[in-house]
Amino acid sequence: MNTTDLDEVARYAATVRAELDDLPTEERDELLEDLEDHLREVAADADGPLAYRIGPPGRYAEELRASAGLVGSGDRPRRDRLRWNWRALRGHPATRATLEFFVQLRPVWWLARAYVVVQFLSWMIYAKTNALIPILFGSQLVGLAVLVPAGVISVQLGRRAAATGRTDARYLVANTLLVLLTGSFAVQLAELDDDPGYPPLGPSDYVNDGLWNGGGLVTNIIPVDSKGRLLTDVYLYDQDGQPLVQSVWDGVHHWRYYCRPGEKRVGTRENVYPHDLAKDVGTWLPYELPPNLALKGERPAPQTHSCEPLRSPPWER
Amino acid sequence: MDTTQLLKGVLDLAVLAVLRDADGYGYDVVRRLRASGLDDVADASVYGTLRRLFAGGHLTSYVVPSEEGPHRKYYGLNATGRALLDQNSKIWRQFAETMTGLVEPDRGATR
Repeated sequence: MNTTDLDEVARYAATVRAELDDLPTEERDELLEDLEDHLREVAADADGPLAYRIGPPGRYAEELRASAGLVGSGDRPRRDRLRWNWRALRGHPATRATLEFFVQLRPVWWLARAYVVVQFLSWMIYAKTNALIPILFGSQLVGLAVLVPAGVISVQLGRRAAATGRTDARYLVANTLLVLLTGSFAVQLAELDDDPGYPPLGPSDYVNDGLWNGGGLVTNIIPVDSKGRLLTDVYLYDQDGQPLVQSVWDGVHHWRYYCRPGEKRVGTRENVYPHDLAKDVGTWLPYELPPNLALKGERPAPQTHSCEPLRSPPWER
Repeated sequence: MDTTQLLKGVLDLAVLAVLRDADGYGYDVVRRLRASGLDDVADASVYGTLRRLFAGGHLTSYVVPSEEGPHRKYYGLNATGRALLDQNSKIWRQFAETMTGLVEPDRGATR
């Protein structure tokens, strides 16, 4: 018998002992007093692992327990059964394969956390953008220049921690925070992706088939008072109090208020006339006054950056 | 049919029977049971059975020091153990006859 056998005997005996640790100490010691001797004899008898000849230690313990007339496994404390289940689960090949898979993915996480840190800095300094490369000091080039060494440092830190197998508390805390940050970051990105990139549609758009006048689509309404003065910010409603919206989508935006995507979304009022016109997102055109009208009063400048929240006016119920 | 299931019911009797001939320690009893043809007997079950019979007062026990190997705990039958063996033997004989009669009616002695 060699030392390997002795190691195996000690391991086997320790497992059996652990399986029976719910028994009173005295009873257990008595039951197991010649366990090691027995195992040594079995080991000396023939080659091959102990578990092959006398079964796994868990079953050995159960057989011992049952034949000695002690409390069966069904009555074992719940805590012990749970711990046993956990041991079985951890030892299961599928569990080990899954864990191994994640361990192999570790370098991906090292790179991802570096990206998250730099992108987070960028987001703290600048408004939230959905730029893939973080912007630092006003430039994605600088962002990239920071991103690369950050990745290298992160991978180095990860490799060192993986190689020593030990992680100090600070590393653990930082890593946990980063996992949380990555999670919230992913949620934010998903929300940004939801942003259609054009002004949100008001509720009336979905049932709006446009305003027609003289056989053509109405694209704007120019309210004028009895003195010939141009009226601005006029709210129009139909006979049911529904906002009067001039047109279905015709390739040109007609909004009075507009906020760019990425800025705080505040909504629009589509029944406020006259409209500013937007050709593309962010490009605004002053509306043209019809040449056949000689109106007094200033035409208001297009409100390109107006992001004041548009609450429902007090008269709308 | 699984012999390990059958063994559970008769292991007490088997161990007592083995110890009738001579005292023995745990692994020795296992070996003798296997040599008798009970190949499926589990080591742990024999150890547990010995422990239970001893706790029930049916066995005596003494330690035999050994110079090279470990000190061994020997078990032997005492008076109550012998009585238990006789009683169990009767039960077994009856049971075996009944089962034989059931399974092989031609050879059955009683019906």
